[in-house]
Amino acid sequence: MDCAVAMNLEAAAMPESQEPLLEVCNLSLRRGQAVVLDGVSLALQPGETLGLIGESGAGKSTLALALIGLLRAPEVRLAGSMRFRGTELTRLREADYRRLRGNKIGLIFQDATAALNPCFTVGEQIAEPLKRHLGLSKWDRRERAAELMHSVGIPEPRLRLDAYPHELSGGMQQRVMIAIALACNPELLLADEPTSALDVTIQAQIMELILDRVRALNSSAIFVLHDLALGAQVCDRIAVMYAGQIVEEGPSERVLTSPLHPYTRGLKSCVVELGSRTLVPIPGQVPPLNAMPAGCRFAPRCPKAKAICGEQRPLAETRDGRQVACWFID
Amino acid sequence: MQEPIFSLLDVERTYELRRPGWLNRAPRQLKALDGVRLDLQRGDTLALVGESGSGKSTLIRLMLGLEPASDGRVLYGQRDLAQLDAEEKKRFAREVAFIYQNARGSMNPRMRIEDILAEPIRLHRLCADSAIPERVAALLDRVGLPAGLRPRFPSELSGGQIRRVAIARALAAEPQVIMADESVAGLDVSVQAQVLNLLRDLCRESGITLVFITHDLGVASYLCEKIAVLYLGRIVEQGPTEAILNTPRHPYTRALLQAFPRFDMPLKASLSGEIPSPVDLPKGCRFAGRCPEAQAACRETDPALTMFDAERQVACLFPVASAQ
Repeated sequence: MDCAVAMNLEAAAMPESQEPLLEVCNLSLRRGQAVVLDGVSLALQPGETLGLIGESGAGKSTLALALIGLLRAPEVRLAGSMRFRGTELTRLREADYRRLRGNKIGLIFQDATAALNPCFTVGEQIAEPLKRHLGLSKWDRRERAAELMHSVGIPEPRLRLDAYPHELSGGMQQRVMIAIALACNPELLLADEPTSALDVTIQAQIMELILDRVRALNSSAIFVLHDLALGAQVCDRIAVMYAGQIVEEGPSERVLTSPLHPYTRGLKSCVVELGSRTLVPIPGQVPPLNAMPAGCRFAPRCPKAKAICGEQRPLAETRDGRQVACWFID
Repeated sequence: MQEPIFSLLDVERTYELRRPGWLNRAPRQLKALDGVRLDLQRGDTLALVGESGSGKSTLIRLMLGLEPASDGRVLYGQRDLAQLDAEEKKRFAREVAFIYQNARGSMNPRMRIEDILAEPIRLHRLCADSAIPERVAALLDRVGLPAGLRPRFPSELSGGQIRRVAIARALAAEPQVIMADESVAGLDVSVQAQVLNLLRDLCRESGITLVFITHDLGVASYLCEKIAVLYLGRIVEQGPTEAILNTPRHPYTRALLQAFPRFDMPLKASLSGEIPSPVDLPKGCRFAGRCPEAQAACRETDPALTMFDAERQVACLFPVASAQ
């Protein structure tokens, strides 16, 4: 319900806004007694890049896995809605999900070494979605796989088609994953920490490559990141997550240069920049999932918390062009 | 000028790679470190920065005496590490502590935290057995952990706590030098900030000499007063942190700085290609293949690390002229 209000406000702010590509409304995910995602709402326009940012345990990866249907009943219980191009994903059958995954929704995982199958050549793995979703012939698949490898900057693609993953470096494996994810020209790309296992110079190359390809295909992308500065560089919008909730969401330069939520501020004061003089850690730890505070989940660690914070959960309000869930926004 | 606590004199480390097959061909050489010169003064905080494959970890293994140098010498207080006798080795083990990259993996999962921390104290007979619990409590307090963790096992601790225990264990024998390998990698920013602050305070309070390996220039600049940048087994630039951040002189250092994510600058892939294999290195400068400013001479002459100004050393034929 608060989601509908938010949508209206956003529509008012952007009169020409199209139908969102992805619309998540009040999504909750429970695993046993634990509420892993609690009332998550967000919308992604076509061509937009969104960064999900937060510490481990914030639910960033869980949200990404729920979106692509890898976390579903009976393992977890989902409530609320996720709509992709008007299709409700929470009630989608597995067979229909399979038509979406790797086709309309591409995926890039953090650990390419673990995500690639060691028993198949990279050429076969890039060709798999081409066979499954596009039904290309064997010859065409090989041609297209070589083209894809070329487009992600792998030198001598024809020679590398028959290489096994272990024969490639970490950066090259990540490029192969990007080629697989983009094989069917997806409308949405989900990238879960695509560069956190790589060196900075390679990270910059890979991020530039992903953005370049996403723009060329006019797709949207959701990045799960823990690096705030990288988020500022690659994302149009940022959603800051804490303990399964989105606490602040909006255009990345506003959220990251002048954060409003105390948690976003706390996170930013912990980031090591070049020549940082002081770091101010956020006191305490993320509460365990089975003992979440009743009100605002950040209240026990928040410098501004008052009585109401411990009792009632703050709803997202529009403030300065973004959504903030806090009782005491300056 | 004091005598340096550690001196590396043209240290080289090569590994022989056996080729598969039964034909007895000559093994190929992998040069992990090549002609590294480094002086470390008492109380220095030095960061070794570089990408994976640059030789940072090999360098620290040599400085810990875990591996012998293939050529050159590693001196600890004027004594060659390779020639220490049993007594000196024991003293070295007490004075130089190491914090492993994988803190959890470096602890015996079946030992309680109190025993993990008591082990170095017992080993070096630093106090009477009856006084050990008190010392363990003091160590935990020093790294900001509650005394209640004493009977716990490593698996019960969080990522940030386990790194603090690793730091406490390194402090247990009251070392003069601490070497740490990527001790904050993979931590969440808020926990990373806590651990970095702890390390920084410890070094400032007790004047411990710190050698810190990291791939993160931000972490290096926060923690250390000096930075040595490694590339393919060589130090390519070395000097005070501020000078390196403000006016990098080696094109590789500049590229690392440009690739570092920043709030106020757009993403920039400053380098193409990847670090080449340390087997069969090319003639000339080893960075020439990726260097945006390489000239013909760079592919012919291998530049040595030379003094650039009073406090900086650079290994480049054509150092970067001005600020970025």
